[in-house]
Amino acid sequence: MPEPLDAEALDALLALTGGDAGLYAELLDAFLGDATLYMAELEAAIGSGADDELLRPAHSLKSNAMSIGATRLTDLCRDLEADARSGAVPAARGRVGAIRTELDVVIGAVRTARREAVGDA
Amino acid sequence: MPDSGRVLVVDDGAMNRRVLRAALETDGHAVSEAANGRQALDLLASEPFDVVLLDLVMPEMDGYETLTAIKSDDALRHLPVIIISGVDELDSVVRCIEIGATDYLPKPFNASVLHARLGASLAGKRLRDLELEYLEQVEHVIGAAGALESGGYEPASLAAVAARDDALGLLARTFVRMAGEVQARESRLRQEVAELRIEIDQAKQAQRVEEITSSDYFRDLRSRASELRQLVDPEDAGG
Repeated sequence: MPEPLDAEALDALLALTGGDAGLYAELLDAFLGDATLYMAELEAAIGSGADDELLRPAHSLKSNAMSIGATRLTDLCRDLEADARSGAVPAARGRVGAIRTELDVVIGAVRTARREAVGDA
Repeated sequence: MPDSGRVLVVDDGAMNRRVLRAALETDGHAVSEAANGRQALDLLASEPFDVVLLDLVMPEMDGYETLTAIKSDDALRHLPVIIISGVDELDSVVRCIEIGATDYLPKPFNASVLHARLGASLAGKRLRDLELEYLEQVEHVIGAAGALESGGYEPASLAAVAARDDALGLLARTFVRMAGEVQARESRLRQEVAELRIEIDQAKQAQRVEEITSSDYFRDLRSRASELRQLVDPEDAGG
């Protein structure tokens, strides 16, 4: 099974900061905050049956996952987005659980990457 | 490195905003952030920007609505808008370019691509600003010509245009000089006309005096005045 985060994408993210480890950690923290929020919005949409509210958080989570090289999470979100766009709502709803599972793996990997960059600061 | 500019980043994701801010500030740009289209429009209404980086999928007001609002506003429609978009969203990009977006920035971000696309948009904005300033100053020269015709011309009104070091500046300086000559000539003519009027008035008065004093009536009055003086004071009769 491939790593949850693509090392090249993380290197590119670090390059965008000009090698600033503090800023890099800040970006990873921002990912964790955004991803947690989008996941909560997805789960709330499932809980409330608001199917038309699945698309936006799935799209935004996909975008953030892409930025840190979370390839599997990106693909899962893209599939949910495609299902939601095409009106395949049951299929879209069915993907939220897999996204939650993968996001938890990604969050663990992001925390590790952050520790490696700046320790526990 | 492109000229620095004032950039508005519109994205609901804190991470994307932070990444873009870092890259843009490294290039010397001043960055403001908005988390949705409504916040972006509020900021655009309150301060000037040179470029907008606009995400499409956002809560409250999405990128399409925001772009449409910008392009419908006379004060904003020339502002370059770069769409932030995933590589799998080219249909959305095409739609945005049809609405009036200048370019698009693919995600994940690449510093070189951001640098190049922002530089091109800023250069376009600078050119547009110069064009607007030029047209405005041409209007000043045209306005000065009208004011000269109607007598309300003020040389100071062309000071800024005359300070330009291009052909328009030369035209303005030439206009100011020639208008000054016209005004001086008009002033001299007015002075001469005023002097001529005085001379004419004086000549008319002299002629009137001559007409009166040479009349029989006047001579008769004079003779009677002399007789009266004689009666009152015989010693002064020859006065």
